[in-house]
Amino acid sequence: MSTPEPDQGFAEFFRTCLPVVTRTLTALSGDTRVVEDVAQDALLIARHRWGDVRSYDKPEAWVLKVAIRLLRRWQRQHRQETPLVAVPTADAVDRVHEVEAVHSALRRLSPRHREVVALHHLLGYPVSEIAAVLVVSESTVRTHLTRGRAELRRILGGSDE
Amino acid sequence: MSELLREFEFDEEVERTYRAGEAAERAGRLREAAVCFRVAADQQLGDAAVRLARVLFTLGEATEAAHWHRLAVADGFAEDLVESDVQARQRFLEHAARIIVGAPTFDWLPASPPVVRMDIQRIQARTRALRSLDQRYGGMACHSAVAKHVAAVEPQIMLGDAETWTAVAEAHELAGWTAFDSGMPGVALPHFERALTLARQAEDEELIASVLTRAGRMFLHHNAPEDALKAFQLGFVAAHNSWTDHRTLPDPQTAITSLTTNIETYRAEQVRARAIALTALARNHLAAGDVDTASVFGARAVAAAATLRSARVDDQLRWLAEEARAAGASALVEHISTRFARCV
Repeated sequence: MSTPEPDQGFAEFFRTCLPVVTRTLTALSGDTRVVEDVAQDALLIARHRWGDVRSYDKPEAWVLKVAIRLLRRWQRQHRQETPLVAVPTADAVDRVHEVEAVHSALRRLSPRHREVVALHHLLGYPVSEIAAVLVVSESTVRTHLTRGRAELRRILGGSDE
Repeated sequence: MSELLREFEFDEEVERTYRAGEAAERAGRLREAAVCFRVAADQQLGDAAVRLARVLFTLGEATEAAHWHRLAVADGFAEDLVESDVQARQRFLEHAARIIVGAPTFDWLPASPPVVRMDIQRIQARTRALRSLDQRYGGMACHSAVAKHVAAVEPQIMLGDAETWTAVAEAHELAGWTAFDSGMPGVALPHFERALTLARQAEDEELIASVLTRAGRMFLHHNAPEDALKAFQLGFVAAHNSWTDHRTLPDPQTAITSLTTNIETYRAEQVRARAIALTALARNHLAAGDVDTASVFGARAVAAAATLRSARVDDQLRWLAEEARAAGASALVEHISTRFARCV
């Protein structure tokens, strides 16, 4: 393996992208240690491919695709496919910060719904981009988004979005 | 690091295979698409299992399709992203049942608007030529040509009359039949559905019966005898209805029995179908020697057709008038002639 070309903007990209990837993966999996490892591995691959990746329309989406793939592989290998977390008590939800409540609610969605809802609501990705990141058809994204949102509303107690 | 990159390169190759499958599916090369999606599904990439199941159901490979569908659902994909062969047949039979009672009208729009009005005889001639190809060389040899023919002629339904609808329905029927013969029952069904809808619009009972018989034979081939029987039964009803379309009257008694039953099934807005059935009843009674009953039905037919402008109905009434004249039923002849006196 040849050493990639020095930087050319990668450091700056790394600084902005790492928190986004970490935040998104955290919404998908509660295991922060794995999330950090996976996010770093994905950015390592991005650095190796930086010559191509930096010319993409949205390098961040590409890194997310790689990261989600890595996360799923890790989960498969450790037989830990995105658990549906136990339902916390109403008291517990009340006490935590609102964002954490949303994250916690997200993690109670089924894994495929969770990915779509997270990319749409945390990152504001449009359907076509979500389809590209998750390697699924746009119709699948739309179906899962509709159902995931309904599930989320139910969990969060009937409020919209 | 090298392990990480090796896995990454492998994943990229799997994704490229998935994309190749997508392209093949879009181009209608379903077997090739299945090969690609099978690799991606085995690697649990994205929704490859969903897409593989869908393609396999279309190809009639129900057992393997069901296997991948189960895996996709277990992986968290919505169950109804894939329509199984059983559900597809069910939907088709429900559509067919509505067709028999005269319900559906167009529920789709052609891919493009019609540019010019095409000559119906040319459409029919092309369909006939393609049908000969199918009979001599098999569906696989000509299905893509038939599909192109359908795409080219379908916009005509926007301009058309009953004759156009029948011509396009025949093209759809052939597209369904050649899709089936190419091992793509899932592609065949939507063509058969459209053929039925168009044939209903054109009130062409014989064509409806023919499409349903073909669908039934396809279901038999794919080991669904119960569904085949339902399709045949619906086709049988349509075949009975088609007594109205005959120029010659081979079996008046049978025709009368079947027409008398069917006349009650038409809804108020099915004016043409009712007028044609009444005319056919009059003609068959006449052929059976019952001039009085023939005159009653003839009068009802003329009344039913009062606001109708249809060459098919006019032809049938003219045939009735000719036959009434030959039988000496002068009152009936006169009754019919009033329509044409008004219509000119």
